Amino acid sequence: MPVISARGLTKTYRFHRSRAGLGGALIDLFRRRHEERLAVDDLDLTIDEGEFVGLLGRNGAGKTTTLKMFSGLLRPTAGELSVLGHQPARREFGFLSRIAVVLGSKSMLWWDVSTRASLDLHQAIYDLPRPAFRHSVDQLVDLLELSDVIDVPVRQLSLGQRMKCELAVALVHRPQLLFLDEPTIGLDVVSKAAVRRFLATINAEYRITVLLTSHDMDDVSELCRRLVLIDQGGLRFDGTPAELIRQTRPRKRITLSYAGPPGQIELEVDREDAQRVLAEAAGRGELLDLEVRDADLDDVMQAVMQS
Amino acid sequence: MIINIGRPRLLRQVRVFGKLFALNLSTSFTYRGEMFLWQVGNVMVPLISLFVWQAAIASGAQLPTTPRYLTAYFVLISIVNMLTNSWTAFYLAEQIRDGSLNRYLCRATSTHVDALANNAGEKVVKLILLVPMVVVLAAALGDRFDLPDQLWRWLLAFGCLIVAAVMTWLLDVMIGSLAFWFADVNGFLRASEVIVPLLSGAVIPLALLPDALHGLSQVQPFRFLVSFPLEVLLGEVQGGLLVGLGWQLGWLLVFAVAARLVWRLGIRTYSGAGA
Repeated sequence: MPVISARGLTKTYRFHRSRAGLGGALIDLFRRRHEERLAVDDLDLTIDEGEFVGLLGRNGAGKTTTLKMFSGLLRPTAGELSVLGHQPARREFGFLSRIAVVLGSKSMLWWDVSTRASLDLHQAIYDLPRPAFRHSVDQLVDLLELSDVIDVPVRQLSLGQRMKCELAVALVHRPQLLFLDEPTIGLDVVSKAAVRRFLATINAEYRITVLLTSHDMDDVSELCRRLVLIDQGGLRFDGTPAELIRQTRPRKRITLSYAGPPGQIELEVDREDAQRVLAEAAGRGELLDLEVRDADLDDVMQAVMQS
Repeated sequence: MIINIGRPRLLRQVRVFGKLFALNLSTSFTYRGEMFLWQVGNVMVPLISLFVWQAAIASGAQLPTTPRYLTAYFVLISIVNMLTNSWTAFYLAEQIRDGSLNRYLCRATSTHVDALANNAGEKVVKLILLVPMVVVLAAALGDRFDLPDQLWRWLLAFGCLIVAAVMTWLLDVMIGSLAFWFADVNGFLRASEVIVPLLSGAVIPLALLPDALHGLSQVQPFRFLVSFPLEVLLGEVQGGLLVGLGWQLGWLLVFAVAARLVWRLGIRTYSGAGA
């Protein structure tokens, strides 16, 4: 059975559009202009156990709304949705105790107390037996290298330390499914690398299914084996990163460094022409270095968002 | 992967409440200086009211109650008012508006248990700060008022106080939940800050309202938020004790049903703003 199964999933938001100026504000008092915006439009998607899926798209494309419906934060307007065999919007204990949500821009920790106090609270929330809880905490502290910070009040932690604590608290009940929304936003390169290593480990070793939304293509290319691209609320692509690159930017990038002039040159060539170009390049001078690669995900996403 | 999901729901919520209560208690002590100043304000306002009414009596005003009842009422009102107060509406509305409600919605516990624990935790700290002030005030006015010596009356008044606190909190959930439909609920909050103290007896005893309003003031729900527990304690329940208890429990039921309904309808429209 798939972990997530969505059929015709749709979400519309109703909002009012304000008129400009004082006169407009007065008219708004008596006659509000309500509009509906289609955030997710007839989405079909299936995600299986153990997958690490990147949910990508430009701002306002509908990816965070999709994630919120999957995690039970929002009620779908139409369509069928089953997550771990539950309807998420019903927010049953059997569902919420098997998922975890980490929102990069919203802390889930209690600000004035230590991470250990938040972990202790989660022990009660998820009704975890003491020995299993202690084992889980020890494992997370070890994996995330938290022993020096776990007893420090959260408000005194750096952003990188805090994100690692967020992950520990979110995962202490050993969920089967983890939703991550921009988990590395604002982190320095060292903290980003630590968070990525941890996420790769829990996915590979504990088979936790992970659904990630991020604008950081390094996160995506390092972690996700499957990408789902959402645009204007609909599914635009579903496949591996390599397939997305081949579909969107099929040309190879060749960097040639010659000992003499012209020095370093960069070429973009069609896949089938690459061999011929390389053969010709070798005869044009003394080659010091040669690099052939596909476009990276950053280029791909830029091309997708501009199209 | 799941470690345990065995315990009944209510028992789990009680354990979570206990943990959150302890957390809120410890964080409330961090802000004890600020809370002390609030409690000074809580005592000063009724004290000034008491002086005003005593001056009115001294200049010959005929009141429908005795000066001893008035003094007892104003000495005790700060404790009753603080214990039945709630500040959930503002924070709940903010959480709905900026999407931080997500933090509670994606956890396997009631969305409201933290607000309840915060309410209870802060009240314990406030009580520790407020009681000595009231004791000093009572000692200063000791020969001008009487307190009941029957234990049952204290226990019954305490029960009514708990019901009043729950009712005020439910009213707050209703007002805060309006943020599901309105971008700004400050108007509702402001209106409730003006209307509720007046109709609950927090500003003046309801017995002092004009005669034309007496009948209405006895059955309207706000009376049971502040005035009623004090009436029970001081043995001057307007309309009779049993009738009053019936009204309070009836209004509690209405508030509970209405708060649940408003919350359930509201959460369907929640858009989880921000992340």
